[in-house]
Amino acid sequence: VTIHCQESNDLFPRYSADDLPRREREALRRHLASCPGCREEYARFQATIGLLDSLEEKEPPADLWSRVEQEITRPQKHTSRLLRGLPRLGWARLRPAVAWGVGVVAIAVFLILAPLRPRGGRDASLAAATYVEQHTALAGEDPLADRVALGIISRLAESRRGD
Amino acid sequence: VKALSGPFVIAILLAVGLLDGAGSQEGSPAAILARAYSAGAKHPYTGVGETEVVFQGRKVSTRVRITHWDASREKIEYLDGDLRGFIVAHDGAVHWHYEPRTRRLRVWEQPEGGTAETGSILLRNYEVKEEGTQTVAGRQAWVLALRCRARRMLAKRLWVDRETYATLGSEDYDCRGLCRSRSMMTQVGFGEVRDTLVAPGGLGCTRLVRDTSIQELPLDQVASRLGFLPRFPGYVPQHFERVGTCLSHCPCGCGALSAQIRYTDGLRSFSVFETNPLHCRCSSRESCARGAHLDKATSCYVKEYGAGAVVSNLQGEQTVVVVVGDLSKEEMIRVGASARTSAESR
Repeated sequence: VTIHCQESNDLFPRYSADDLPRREREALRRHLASCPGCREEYARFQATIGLLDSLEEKEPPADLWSRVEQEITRPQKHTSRLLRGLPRLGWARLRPAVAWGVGVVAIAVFLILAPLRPRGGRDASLAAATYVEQHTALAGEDPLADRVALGIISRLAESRRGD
Repeated sequence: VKALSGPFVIAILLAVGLLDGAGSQEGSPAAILARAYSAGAKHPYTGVGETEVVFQGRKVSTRVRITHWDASREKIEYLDGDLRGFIVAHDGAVHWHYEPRTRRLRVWEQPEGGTAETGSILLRNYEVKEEGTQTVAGRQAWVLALRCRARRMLAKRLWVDRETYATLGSEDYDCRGLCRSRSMMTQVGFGEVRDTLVAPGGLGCTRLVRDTSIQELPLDQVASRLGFLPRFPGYVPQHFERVGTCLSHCPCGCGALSAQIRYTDGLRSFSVFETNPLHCRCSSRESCARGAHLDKATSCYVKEYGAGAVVSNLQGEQTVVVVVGDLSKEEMIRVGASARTSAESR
């Protein structure tokens, strides 16, 4: 099994939880060993998991559920004007509009934040391999160039994309 | 330009070579080299060879089948291991790679010219010596050694066929004097080539065309097409000379144009790519932990592929500079940083 950079990120949660079949686990381990970009990404993932694990677990108060039940069954005396209007408008009618609104806000946030996201070594490495190809394509024009060797370098650099 | 540049270079090389070897029947080593320089155009051949390359610290060996029609048409088919089925070819105005596993054909349009000055630069910077004769693929070959005049270090060894002047073998040495690649013919047959040079195609074959179409445009025209004014590196290693500037699509595939400025000392070469980061975001912003520490405003990425391909990628506020070629890491960073600085100081 060969794993590429994009797939490897999707497998991090299961890999971290030791929930991957042996072959996939081995393939990902090999990929991480040879790909600094993904290794860095996995280290960040583990750091995040570690941060979550380090948070103190708090037990909910013993009477939480009874209080929730009371709130649900209590007559609605102080409902706001807006909420009183909701049943008339119908939640079913509002739902698509709310979904669209949330979607638009999410896209806007993504568009604003995406350019600010730091680009990792993997991106640079992807480009680096293609720059090597482009350079060797022209270097091979020299009558004395070892075009066989240049071809190997170009092909191997391309196959190590993401390293 | 290309049609005229070849004979022009050969004439210069022959003049130098024949003067060097006055009185000798076969000419001096420089004259042999001059003939080897032009031999590709005259003698079609098919052959099988073996090549060994040092890639990222490990040796990679393969056999290849070479079909050579003339100076501008050649096909190299790799026969072993991971490289099996991979094809590299020059077909007149284009250079292409075919990867059988992905059925992907990558095509680069070659700029015109390019060899016009390399021959004379080569003889200025390298001294050619004959080291005797050897038999290669059943044929008698001169062994020529090219040493850097400044440092007296061996840079290349060539095995040149005594009859046709075709190159039957070569060894390349890096700037530390270590052999980085060795190619040697094991079988060769000169004469008419019956094979045809056709790029693979058909269903499932992806064709990616890289347009490297323009040679030595005036800088203002380059700037108007790029959207920014590229600057030449303030620092260029000794003996290297600029031989061309091409525009090409940024190799990351983002669609932006980048400038490729090429330098050579006659044997070794490197390219400086400049791209506007506002158009292309393929560069690295990571810290300099993997490379050298430069000033705070510079991020860099250094990758060593071995055998004459070390990549240094630097990004400043206005330009992405990528340096690729036959230089040490330190030199790459120095060249890249000087281009970045000169680009941003304007």
